Amino acid sequence: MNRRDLISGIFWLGFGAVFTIGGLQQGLVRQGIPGPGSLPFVVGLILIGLSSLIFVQALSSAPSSQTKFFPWSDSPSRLALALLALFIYGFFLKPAGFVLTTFVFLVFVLRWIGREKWISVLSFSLLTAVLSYLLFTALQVELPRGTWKF
Amino acid sequence: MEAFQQLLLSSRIALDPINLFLCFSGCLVGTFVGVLPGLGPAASMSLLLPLTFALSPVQALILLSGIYYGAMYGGSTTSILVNIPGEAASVVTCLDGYQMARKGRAGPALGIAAIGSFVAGTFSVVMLMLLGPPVSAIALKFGPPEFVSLSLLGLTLVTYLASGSMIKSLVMACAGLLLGFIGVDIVTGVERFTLGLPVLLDGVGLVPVVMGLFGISEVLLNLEQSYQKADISASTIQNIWPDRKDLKDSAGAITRGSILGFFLGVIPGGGALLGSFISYAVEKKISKEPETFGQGNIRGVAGPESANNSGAGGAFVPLLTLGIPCNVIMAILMGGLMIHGVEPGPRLIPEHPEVFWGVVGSMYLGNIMLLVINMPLIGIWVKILKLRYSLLFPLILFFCLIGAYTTGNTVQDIYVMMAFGVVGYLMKKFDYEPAPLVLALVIGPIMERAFRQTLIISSGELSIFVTRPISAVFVFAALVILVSPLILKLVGKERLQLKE
Repeated sequence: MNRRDLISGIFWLGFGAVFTIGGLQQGLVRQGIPGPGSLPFVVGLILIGLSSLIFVQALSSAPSSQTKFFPWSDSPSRLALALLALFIYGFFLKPAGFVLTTFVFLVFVLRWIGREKWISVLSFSLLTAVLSYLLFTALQVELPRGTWKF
Repeated sequence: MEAFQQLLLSSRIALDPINLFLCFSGCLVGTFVGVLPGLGPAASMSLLLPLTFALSPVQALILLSGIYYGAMYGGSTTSILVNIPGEAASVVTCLDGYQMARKGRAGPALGIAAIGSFVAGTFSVVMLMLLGPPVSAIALKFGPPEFVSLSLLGLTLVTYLASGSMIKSLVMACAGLLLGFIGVDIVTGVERFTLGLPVLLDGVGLVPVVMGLFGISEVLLNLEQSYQKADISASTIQNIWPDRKDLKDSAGAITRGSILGFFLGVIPGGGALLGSFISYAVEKKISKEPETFGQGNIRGVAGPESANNSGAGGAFVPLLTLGIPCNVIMAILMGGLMIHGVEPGPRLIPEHPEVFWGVVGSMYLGNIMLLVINMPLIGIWVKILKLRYSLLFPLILFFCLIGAYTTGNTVQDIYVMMAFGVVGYLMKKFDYEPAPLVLALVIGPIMERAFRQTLIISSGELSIFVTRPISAVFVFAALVILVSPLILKLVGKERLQLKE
């Protein structure tokens, strides 16, 4: 049994089912022409068929010697930290402004994920935040200024 | 007379100082991302897409296509010097390129890669110029049914040629189509699958999806590994120019690679990657000394490097003439053009001749620029390779964040990108290829519109797809491709039983 294919088969089965049911609810035909739900319904059905095939194949296949999901014991924590940093950036970008959020984001990832020395963390973060602000402003890219207006 | 006017238009646009600057910037950035492993042309083009909003469509296309063929050039450097392909199409260059470098012949390997790329790039531009207008003229006769069946054929080819399981590729294509249906329905105005989120009203944004699947997921995959430092000091570069014997040995490989690469590049799903692999196989097959391949044979570098650059040019033919993107990069270019209000397809050349001829002209100049960038700047690229990943990945994350945000000036796009970053990471772990998903996401809405137009024309009769001859050919070809793996499997089993 191939566990990864089994899991992914179930996931796509569910994904296809959501669109098939959604398509049905939105209507397959309206005034004699295909309705908004027609193609989502058809493609959803095809996806259900294909994912069922993956599921059945995974069940009947011999156990495979797959590599470990996380290669190192600290891999999950690094990934979680990176995702947390991305989330926090999105959360604070508008209220705190571009420069401050970028500076804090870079300090966080360089120090706690990249494990760089403090001196390079601070100088690299400050330089990148300020230079990118100047560059994007010059390119007339609209950036959030936040409460402190920068 | 018309040809002269087109040439004049082409050179006028390409030689415009701003366009020259954009072409040079695109080539430089492209070479840079081609050199750096981990940041491919797809993610970089998505990053720069919001910056092109202030440009005209032709300027945006000049900049973005410069990044694409620049990355094809740059990808060879890391393959040869450190045995790490900068992008997928340069994987096969590692085999002989790195061996040449280990034998102290890094210079001629880099030199022949640049020369081959230049020759092939120029060849593909000439072919694009010659093939573009007639193909576009034929495609003008296509109606909605032909476009639906052609899109179907394109998607089928992409899934057929994708590496790994075809069923998984089909799953990806279906998922991409379904994601493409999200948003307000263009015919009825009904909201579909938006979960009440305003960010999804206009559909799932291409930029956050591509940056998530190709940028964020790549960083996540690299972060879970321990940082590995490449042994760059192992290769010393002395004389960059190949000698007369090298040039003589490579001439045939460059010619074959250029022709083969171009035609494989035109096929949806083919692109630069397939061309480079097949060119290597051909060179090895016809060589009198096949055993020297993999040990530093210069033809093993010249052929694939020419093929991948020629393929990069070839991929523009279906995009600019039929509106069919044959790889992810072309899908991004298509998305970029559509943001600018230009829809790639048969009407592009008659309605926006400046876009087609401007890009053709800039590609000519871009190939010369790339030769200039690649040859003398190799030392600088090697220094860039020494940049620690712990300093590089925060920059990639940061540019992805800004790229996603500036697409629609909303932080919700950042969350969409994050979600697709996780999806992309899981897809790699579960052996799914993201390319068919992205292509289907771009083609999906266009295909749906054409499909519904077709059924309005035919009063709901699906038989229209097989009663119109051109459409029937496309549908039949798609069916053959879909069924062929099954038939091949059955034939193989039968033969095995007969042997037993």
